[in-house]
Amino acid sequence: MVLALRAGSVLGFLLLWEWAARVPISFNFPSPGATVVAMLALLRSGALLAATATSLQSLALGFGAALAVGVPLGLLMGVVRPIGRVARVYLDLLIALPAAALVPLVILSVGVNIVSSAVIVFVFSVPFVAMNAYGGVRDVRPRLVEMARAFDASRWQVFVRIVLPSATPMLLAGIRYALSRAFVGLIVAELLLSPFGLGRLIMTARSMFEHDRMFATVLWTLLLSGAALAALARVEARLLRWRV
Amino acid sequence: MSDAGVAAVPIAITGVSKAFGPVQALADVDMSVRAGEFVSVIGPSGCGKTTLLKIVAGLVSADAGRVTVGDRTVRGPGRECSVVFQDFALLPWSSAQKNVEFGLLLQGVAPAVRQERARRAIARVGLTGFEAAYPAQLSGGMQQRVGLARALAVNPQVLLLDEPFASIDEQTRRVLQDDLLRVWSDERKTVVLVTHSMDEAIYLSDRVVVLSPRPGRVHQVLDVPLPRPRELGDVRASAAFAGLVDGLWKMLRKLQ
Repeated sequence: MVLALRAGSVLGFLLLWEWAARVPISFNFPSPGATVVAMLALLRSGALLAATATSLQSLALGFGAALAVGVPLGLLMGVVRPIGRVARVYLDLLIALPAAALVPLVILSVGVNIVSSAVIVFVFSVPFVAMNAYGGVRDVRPRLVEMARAFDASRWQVFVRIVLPSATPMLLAGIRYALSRAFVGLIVAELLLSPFGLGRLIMTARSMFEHDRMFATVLWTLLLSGAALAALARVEARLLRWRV
Repeated sequence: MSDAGVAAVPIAITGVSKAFGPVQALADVDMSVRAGEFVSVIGPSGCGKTTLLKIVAGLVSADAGRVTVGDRTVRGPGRECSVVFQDFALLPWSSAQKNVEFGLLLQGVAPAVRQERARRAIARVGLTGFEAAYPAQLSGGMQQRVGLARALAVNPQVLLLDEPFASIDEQTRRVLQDDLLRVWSDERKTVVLVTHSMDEAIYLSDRVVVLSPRPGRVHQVLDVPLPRPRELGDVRASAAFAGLVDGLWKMLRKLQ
């Protein structure tokens, strides 16, 4: 049932796209077929893979840092409540901030390189990791803490055995959402910074009116983030098997 | 488990008071439980009976007075007591087996020993075959069996039960009550049971302590001279049982 719906929705989307290309909405709106052909050509030339490798470096660097900072920060915020109440204000601001506005600032301070994209990725994703870790800790059932205490658990044992596993579902949901934000941040950074990665490929194709190549790169990016999110969802399902 | 051979210990509660902000929950409570005795605490809702149990467990500190379990003056949780909670308080991310092992895990017991002792505790409460199930896959009655097995696995001298069967249906509750009596008569632990069921208090206990409404203090202590083992006979059908429940009801009605 779900499978049929899924297949149907993909087919519907492709038909809509084909129709939009034929109408035509714009004189250079590429059809699905043309896009796929362009993507294959880009793959064969190696341009797409090279750009992907560069982009993924920024992504891994920025998102890795977001995890390394966001998870401990969020947990600390949850365990030491005063820190949580202070830090959440900044994180809320960071979420509300149009992060693209930071790009000029980042270029000024970091320069234009892989690291500057990584910094934007970090800024885009870290508040969601930290806020969900924080929320997860705050949602711990007090009764479970009491139960562990009744067995004479130390504070550390309560943290490791009760708080951490209780916070895991929300933490993982935050990480998954942060990853999608990381992709957004990556492309925004590369579109604006330009000289690297998939964003640059999109911009170059656009400036040369190769709209099929531009569409192919966008589609490729979409597939990439979709695959990454699906992989993460799998890990999540595995870790949360107990939720029957 | 019984092979570790711990002797039951008495509990002494003297002059215990507790207030939560402006609300006086307990006022000058004196109560004692003999080693191996089964005592229930009953009273109108809000009389502080659960608070009293938590003070004995070391989870809540008293404002005044003193509690001793065996030789130890209670200043925090200790290993001689195990608590069984009304809402089971199971770890939803752990299997029944891991839940039962939890107390032993916290005590640093080696994995092989832990598994073996948990398996035996699971067998005691009749859950063999459900070791791998997660709490969400078990009925309320089975979840509380896990809770009881977890309490027994650490081999405590004292069992503290906080309305353990309150959220379980009547038929299952009776079965669990009999199982509890069987475990108790095998292992002779000191048991304190907080309940709001008169029937349950009379059926299970040697003595029933009746607390007055807030602030809770000991109103009266009722002896239950019904013969044991009660789980084998037809105690509930006896006139003596009905008379005791009726007496308890009259006492509680006056307190409302």
